[in-house]
Amino acid sequence: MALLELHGVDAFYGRVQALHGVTLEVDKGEIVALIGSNGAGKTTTLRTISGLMHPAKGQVIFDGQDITFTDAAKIVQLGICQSPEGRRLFARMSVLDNLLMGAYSRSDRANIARDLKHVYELFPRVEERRSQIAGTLSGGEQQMLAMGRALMARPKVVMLDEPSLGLAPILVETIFAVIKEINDEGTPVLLVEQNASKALSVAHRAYVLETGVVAKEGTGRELLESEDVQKAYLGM
Amino acid sequence: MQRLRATFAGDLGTALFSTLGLLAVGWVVILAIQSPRSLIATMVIGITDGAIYALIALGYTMVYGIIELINFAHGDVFTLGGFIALPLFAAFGIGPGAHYSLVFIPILLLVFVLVMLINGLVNITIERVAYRPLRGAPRLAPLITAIGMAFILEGTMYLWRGPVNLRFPDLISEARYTNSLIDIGVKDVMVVVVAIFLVVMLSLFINRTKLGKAMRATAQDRDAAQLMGIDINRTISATFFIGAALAGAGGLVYALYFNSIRFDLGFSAGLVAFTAAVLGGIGNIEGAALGGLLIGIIRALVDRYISASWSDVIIFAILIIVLVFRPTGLLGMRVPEK
Amino acid sequence: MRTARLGRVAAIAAFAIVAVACGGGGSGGSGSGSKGTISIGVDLPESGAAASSGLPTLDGVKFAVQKAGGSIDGWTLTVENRDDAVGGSYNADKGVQNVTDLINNNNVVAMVGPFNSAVGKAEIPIAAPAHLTMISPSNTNPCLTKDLSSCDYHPADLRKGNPNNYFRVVATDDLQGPAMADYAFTTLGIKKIGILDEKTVFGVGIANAFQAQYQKDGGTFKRDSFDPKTTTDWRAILNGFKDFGATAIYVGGTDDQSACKPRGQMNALGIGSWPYLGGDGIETSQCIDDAADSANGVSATTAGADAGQISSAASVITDYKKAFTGANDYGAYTMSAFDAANIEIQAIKQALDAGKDPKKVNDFREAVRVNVSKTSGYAGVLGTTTFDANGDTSAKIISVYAVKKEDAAAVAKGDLTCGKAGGSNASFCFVWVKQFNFGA
Repeated sequence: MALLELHGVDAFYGRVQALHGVTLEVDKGEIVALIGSNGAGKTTTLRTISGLMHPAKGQVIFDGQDITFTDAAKIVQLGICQSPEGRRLFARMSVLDNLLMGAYSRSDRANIARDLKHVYELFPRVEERRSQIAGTLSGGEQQMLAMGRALMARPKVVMLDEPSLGLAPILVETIFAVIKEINDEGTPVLLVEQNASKALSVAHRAYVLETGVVAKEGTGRELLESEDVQKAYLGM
Repeated sequence: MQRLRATFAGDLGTALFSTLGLLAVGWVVILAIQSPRSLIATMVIGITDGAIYALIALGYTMVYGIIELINFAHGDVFTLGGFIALPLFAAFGIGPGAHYSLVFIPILLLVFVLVMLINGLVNITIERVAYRPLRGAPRLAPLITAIGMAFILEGTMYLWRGPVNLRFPDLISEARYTNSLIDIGVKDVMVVVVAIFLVVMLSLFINRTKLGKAMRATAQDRDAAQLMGIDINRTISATFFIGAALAGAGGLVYALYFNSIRFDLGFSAGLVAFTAAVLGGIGNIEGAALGGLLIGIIRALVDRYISASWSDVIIFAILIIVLVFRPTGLLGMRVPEK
Repeated sequence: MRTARLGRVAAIAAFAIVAVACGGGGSGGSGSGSKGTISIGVDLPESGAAASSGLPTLDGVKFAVQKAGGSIDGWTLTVENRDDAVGGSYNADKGVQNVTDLINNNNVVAMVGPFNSAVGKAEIPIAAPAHLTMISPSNTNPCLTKDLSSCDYHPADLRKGNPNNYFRVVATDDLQGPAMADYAFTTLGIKKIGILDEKTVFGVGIANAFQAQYQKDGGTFKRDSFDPKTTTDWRAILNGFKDFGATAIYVGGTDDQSACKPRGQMNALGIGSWPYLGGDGIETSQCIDDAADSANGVSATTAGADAGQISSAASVITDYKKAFTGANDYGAYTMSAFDAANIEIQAIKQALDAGKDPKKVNDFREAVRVNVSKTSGYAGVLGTTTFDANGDTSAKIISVYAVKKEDAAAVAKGDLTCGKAGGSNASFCFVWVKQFNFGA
């Protein structure tokens, strides 16, 4: 059994169906990419896993436990953490307070301090700005902070939603390097990206979402080489 | 274009603010030269009123900050604080005819704590029953429930104690310090000390504690806060609790200060305090305190030296000028969201 | 109107119902020897909470008819009574319906009523074309008779071109301010005063009237007004008055607009012993409560005489209380209604003496109206009444009441306006101190 599994998930916004029977899984040690165009249902999938919304049908299983209708706050405690699209930092709080909010569900002070140090190692820029108000950071710094904040929960799975969106190419490289590093340290990553070629090149496995349906799945390499995917998402 | 407008508004706004501020300071200096004693007496009135407005305004601003609800019932929650205190005093054997004695001070402190606690629990219940079920509903629905809640609270207090002006025991010393310049009572000092103490405590709580930070985080981005594992319901309950505890303390302070309270006091006091919260920047805690203090002082000065018929005109003119140039209020959130 | 003495009789609604049952006497019929029936119509609020206003007033009319022996010159005299209260308070639409009803009753030749000025405003346009005489025992709004710029309607418009059919035996509110000004300046000897209003039409109007007369008397004043919706602290305003050198305050306004709350804050400023003066809007229990620990020294005017203070009225009141024995049968306007009915009875008699035929109802009503309008030097219980061209009485009496601490027996009697029962000012009551006659 995989660490995180979705089985036939249907999800709605009001009366509009956003997901149709989505089934996917993320296992220990993996980077799994979720690609697709705008409105394909990528963010909805993450929100459903996080418990920000609940599916109308289907199941979400984490670590052998059914979390389909578990509260968002509880899911974080179980070990799924998300860096949401648009970073969603606490703009009027300091960088340090943002990171500490990431560790909100934990009470092991010594380990929190160690993780904080680790995040500073991953993102030295974040450490430099730790007493600054988060809203005053540049786009790249904010993305680093958002990822660092997600890691502060010491998650068993980290979900990153569009981490490279709107960043300069050099920063995109940095971000992807860190994603790999996080994964090398043993944390599975579920990565939602519009930059499909970047995402597929780091992903072990990937899913292609089209209008709420899983249209294709395979290893990162398989999808990179697939003609359909190349046409639709890689601009070839 | 937007930048241009912002710059324009910024410069013109700053110029206007400084001009108005200088004029106001000049005026006060002239008043001080004419009769320092009279000015000091007026400032004492303004600061004490302002401190009470501030205690109410904090609750408005905190609740708005976290769930964007104008909690119209908040003024009545303030009155409720005074109402709850009366039976508590009675339980400790202090009737409405009691007079100041040092023996009462520990009881007074205990009643303060109990009033804040009970008032907080009442407000948590109000939130749970009347606002939480409507959290996903259109904005107008909880707004109307809040207005309804205001009527229910006022009606309940009316039914409980009737339309009479409830006389409060004289638990604070009437002693005054008087010389040729200053005339200030123990009561005046009590109001200001209680208000400052509570605001400092609140500020420490909000900025230093985990729950306080979680409240700020929830106010800034509810979804993101949930993704951090913050229990939103608990945080919102805490906000209602603290808002009501402060307002309840304010109601008790008011009643001890003026020795009377009536079921409909919260209407006017709430209206002024809400204005104070907007002036200071709704959602901003320091802003609410500043707004309350400013409105108290401006009102006392205008009442005393111009005419009470102008008080509201001048206060709201200042409010409009501030909002036109700084729509988020004096200390409103000015950090851009990127 | 400010239903001036309403507070005094407010608590007695329930018992008053009995008076209706006892009063009876609607259908005298034409017994042997009677030439027929002549009726005096009555329109008052007589049910629910308003019964305490209307029923003792109705009894005043019934008492007048009784005193006349129930007949005039061989005609049976009856009371044709209508209730204009809906849901316990006066209702102008109901009043209009009642007056229409009375006009359609060919026995009705004149009427007493209404009780409330707002009802009067609605009824005059219906009664005037029918030349039906109305004498109100209690309307005090000056606009019903006087063409004042502060009014939003005018008597000529109400009458619609018909001759005046509306009269009243009480003074009008516009005299309350001047009366208190004279009281403050001359009786109390206050030379400097602070004048406050609460920004309502009534409050500003009465404060203006006070101010004009006080200035004429030679006093100086500082004027201010506050908004009751946003004001919780009056101390800065009061300090302004104090620094001005005032030694008393006049407040134009009503208790429900916080007119008495400033009083409650005066003690803290060391000025709790200043006289605090106002119109009938503060002659209420609420005001005594709001005054907190400074209830003593609050004074208020009301339009009209206090029947209890007129020595010539004493024997009539004694007779009345023998005839109407219920605890609450005697009200603040009973004697006004008695005088009003007697003026109409006199006018009816004059019409009969002049050979007018009550069967020709339109002619007879007009004759009664003309006779009433010519009322001059009529010696009633409350004073001498001469109607001017507007229909106002020459007996322009304003009474002044001051709050004093009363003993339990006086409070229990229930004919004083006292602080609310159970409140800390329950033993403080408005007590008559003086009256001013502006007609003299």
